[in-house]
Amino acid sequence: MKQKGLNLSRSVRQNIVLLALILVEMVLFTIMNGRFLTLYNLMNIVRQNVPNVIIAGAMALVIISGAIDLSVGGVMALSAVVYGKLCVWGVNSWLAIVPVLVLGVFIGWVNKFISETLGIPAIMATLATWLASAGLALTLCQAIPISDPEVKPITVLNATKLFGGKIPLALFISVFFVAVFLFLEKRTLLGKYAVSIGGNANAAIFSGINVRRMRLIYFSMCSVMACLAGIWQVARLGSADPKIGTGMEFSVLSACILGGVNIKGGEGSVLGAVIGVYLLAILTNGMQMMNIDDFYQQVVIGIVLLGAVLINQLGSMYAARKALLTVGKKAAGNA
Amino acid sequence: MGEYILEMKNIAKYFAGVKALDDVSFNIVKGSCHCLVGENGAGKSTLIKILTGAHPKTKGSVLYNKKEFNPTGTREAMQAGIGCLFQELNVVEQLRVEENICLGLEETRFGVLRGKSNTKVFDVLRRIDDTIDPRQYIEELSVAKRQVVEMAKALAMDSNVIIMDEPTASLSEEEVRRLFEIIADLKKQGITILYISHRLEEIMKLADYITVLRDGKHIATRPISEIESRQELIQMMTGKVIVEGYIPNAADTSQTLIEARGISNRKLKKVSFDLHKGEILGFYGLVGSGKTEIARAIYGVDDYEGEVVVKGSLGKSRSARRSLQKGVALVPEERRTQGVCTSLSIASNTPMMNYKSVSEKGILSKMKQGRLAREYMKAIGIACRNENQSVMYLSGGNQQKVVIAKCLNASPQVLLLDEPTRGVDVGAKQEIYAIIRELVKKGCSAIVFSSELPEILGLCDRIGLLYDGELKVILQNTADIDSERIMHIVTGGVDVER
Amino acid sequence: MKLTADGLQNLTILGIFIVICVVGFLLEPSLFISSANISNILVSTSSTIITASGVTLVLITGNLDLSVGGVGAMAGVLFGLFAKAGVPMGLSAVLAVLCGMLCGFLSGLIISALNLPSFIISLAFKYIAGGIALIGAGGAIISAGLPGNIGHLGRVVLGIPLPIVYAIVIFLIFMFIQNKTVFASQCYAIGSNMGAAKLSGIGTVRVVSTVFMLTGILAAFTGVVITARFSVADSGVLPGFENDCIIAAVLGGTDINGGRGTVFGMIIGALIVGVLTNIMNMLGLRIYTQNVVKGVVLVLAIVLNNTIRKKVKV
Repeated sequence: MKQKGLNLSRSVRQNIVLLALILVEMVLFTIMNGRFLTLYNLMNIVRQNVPNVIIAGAMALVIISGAIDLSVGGVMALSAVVYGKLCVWGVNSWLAIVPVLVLGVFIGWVNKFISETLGIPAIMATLATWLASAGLALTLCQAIPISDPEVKPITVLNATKLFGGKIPLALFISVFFVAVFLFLEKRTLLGKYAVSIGGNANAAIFSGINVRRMRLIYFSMCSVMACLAGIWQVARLGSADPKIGTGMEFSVLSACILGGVNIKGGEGSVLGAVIGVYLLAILTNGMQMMNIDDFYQQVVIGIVLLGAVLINQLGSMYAARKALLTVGKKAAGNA
Repeated sequence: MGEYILEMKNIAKYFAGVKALDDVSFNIVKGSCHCLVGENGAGKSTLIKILTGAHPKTKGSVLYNKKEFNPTGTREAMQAGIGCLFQELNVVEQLRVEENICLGLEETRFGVLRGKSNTKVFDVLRRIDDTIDPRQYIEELSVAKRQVVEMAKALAMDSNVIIMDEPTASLSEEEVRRLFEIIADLKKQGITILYISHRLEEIMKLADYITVLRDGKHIATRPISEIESRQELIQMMTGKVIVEGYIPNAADTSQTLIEARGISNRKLKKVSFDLHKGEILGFYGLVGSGKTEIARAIYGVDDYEGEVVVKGSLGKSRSARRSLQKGVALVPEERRTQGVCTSLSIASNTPMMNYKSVSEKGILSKMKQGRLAREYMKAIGIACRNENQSVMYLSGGNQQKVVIAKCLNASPQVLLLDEPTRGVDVGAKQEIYAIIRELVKKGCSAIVFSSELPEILGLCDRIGLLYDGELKVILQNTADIDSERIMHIVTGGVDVER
Repeated sequence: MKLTADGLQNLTILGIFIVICVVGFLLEPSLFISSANISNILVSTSSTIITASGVTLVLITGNLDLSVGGVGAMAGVLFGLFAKAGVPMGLSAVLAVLCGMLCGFLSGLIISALNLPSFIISLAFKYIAGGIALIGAGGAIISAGLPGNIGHLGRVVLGIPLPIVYAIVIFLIFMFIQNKTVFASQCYAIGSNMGAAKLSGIGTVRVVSTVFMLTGILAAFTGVVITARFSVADSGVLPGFENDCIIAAVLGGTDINGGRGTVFGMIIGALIVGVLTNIMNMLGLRIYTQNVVKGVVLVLAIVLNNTIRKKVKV
């Protein structure tokens, strides 16, 4: 009895729905404000959301594997400040990126240590790391953004525009990292193992998967991406501002959930998270165009997040109920 | 007779005062289907756990291909070639079939998955069941198909021995037939099957060899050709069942406390019975026969079609709270996850079903709570330091007594007990039986759901026999009840004495 | 006399508290012991004590409430807005607290009825409530146009700042609730073993909704009091407040997984955090640096809990 038709997973079907939603959004906002659909505006959206999109892929894998990383905002700030300091101390702008990445790996290890080895739930563990790294960032620069000239060279990343000055480098950077994470998810074991660990940890262990090592990998990837995001923000702002990354964990988390990543783990995709990022991005941009205050945006995103979680859960409950009834019918049929 | 792939020599396993296995020795022929039978508590699960490395053995040795075999964990056993299909299936629902089968066995180069699909996987799967599309997601598959996937996985890991623990518990007749075909196929490939089941009809069809365990001891290992009939098997499984201590309770058949009609749901098929005042009704059946499902349906925590009428109240009970109000209390099957709050003290656990007994207008009286706990501790005999001791440090039997105390405190007219003495030592078992009898003497009734025949025979006035979700018959208990007939019915046999 | 895990925990943190006080005294002998400083510590700790009384119960049920900072800010701002709009000060306060109550009740209901992880739901509410606060105050603060009696609730009476009185009254009430009510017993049961609690007939939806509702009320009240104290409705008030509450509760022996904890312990925990903050202020550490310390303290507190529990087998 072969399956007829397309054998799409729930994730893929969800993604299609999300893409449709994006289209709806774009149409709506274009109607409300002609300036929405301009290349300039769209590219702005891309530029503003580089951090979100590069972290989202890694965060998705962390959540799918059953954990969570709330420290990304603080890590962004810390990486920005550390980068700034390194530049000021004379390290070449490009070489300075390397130690910052190493810092990312270290923070990933700290997260894994506190959550796995000390047995503290990932929420609390990464909350603590967030507190510490955000605070450390401010401490290192005494709350004063580092805007020395040594920090400026990196801004070329933000300023570069290709194809006759129309397409910013940001687009290519975004596409690059999305491609990388899609590759990691589908073409290496990372994606599959994340689903296994999050879906049925016992089965994963029986199959020989080293859960601790995988957790370390997922946490580290997330922190490293957060570090890259921090450096990107320095490039955008032209200074290493310790306030970088504020609220990022919330945005990325919301994007992942909107994108169909199940907060309980075992379900979701990188693509979904990426689509979620742009869903939110277009929403906020559209609201900005309609001159709605930033603060309303926060409320809207909160409500959207709630809605997404509720819909996700109700969907699962409905599917479970359906399965129960089907099995029941089968049994009754046998009686 | 072929060579032995597994040899069990004087295996013994002791748990705190209980001999789960006592000097068990037998051999398993390579390439055969070797069935392990015995009642609950006979030691089958323990033996399997030792073979797969989940528990260490206390004494004895296991030879695997003539070499000493001492796995430290299930994974080690699996990698050595002993695959086990447990009742809780070890598949990841959100992955596809092929992904599950090669989970942990993927071919990679520098971490990147190899381009071409793993044809070995497809082969393995197709050989067992070519109707399963490897690209399907596990969550879409029925239990039977999931089992097939697990088997394919065991094969993909090059297992020489595949252990199956009650595999047919949730399968339809057709699926069972298919499973047997698969097993026959596997044997042809030289794989040894160790098959545990209660369903004697199936065993008779399937087995090359049968080993009977009883009370942790090895009774016999015989090739199927030497076994005449299921009666013989049943005799070996049950031995001489001494119906000790059965004293009929003063049941008042004119008063019905519970009337159940046509209870049906995912597992149950139109179960109907009456419970009379002052009697102990027993439900006996083996794994998967539906005991817990009936208990939960009566208690209102599971959905069902049909009617359960509790004397003196109207309406269907849809929650534990409602049932308690109607005077029905449940001692659940799983003590640690459903019965007691292990991190809390005895005194905190006892009043949980009826806080009114220790409080007034919502204000708890620690004094009353302590006194209540002490009263029950004395009345039921809970061995502990004091009422403030955390339940997690009590023995299984004493933990169970705390659960019973909790239920008794709700002043129920009907007490449901699901596997009341599972994991409880012999002494505590008798004490619990005494408690149940005391309760019934005072005018209540009890329903005992159990998979231990001596328990049922010793306690209950009437016994309902379950098989595969159906209530086959209700027998009146007598001193010379036919336990073989009982075993015959609960293992799927057709009851001729109607 | 045998020591329970709770007893040992309380003794340990009492010890830590004394040590910290001694350290404070040694650092700045005259400054630390002065009545002004002690009053300072107590007033700033009062916010934590008030809200963490509820947060402790939430943690006991095995849940997390990350929204208290947002709810507090929202209530503080709403209080200011209502008062500015002419609503009598007392009524404004009540209305603001009712909003917090609603917020809490909704979170608790969603979490328990739909079986959703509490951290994400409370996180969403944190941003919603926080957003409302920002909207109400235009992203800044409301100081102009507030009635003269806005500070009434936060004033000093007979030399004692009212917030300290509130803290004492509330913690006494919640200590009573936690120790002596059926409701609290049900909270412990739910946190210890949800399955057993449900089978025992405990109305888990009712209890969890109530516990979140209570915390919402307390968080809102805290926000109102802060507005009163400074006569300014600050939309950015109480950043990281939820962390302080959780640290206080955890230090006080509340298990992050539920089923254990006491309000009394939380108070000692809150005082430790209060004194620690005071010392860090005296040392000139900026708030952000203090956060680093707090992050480490949070982790250490949980580790301490776990260690004590493993050591004491009762």
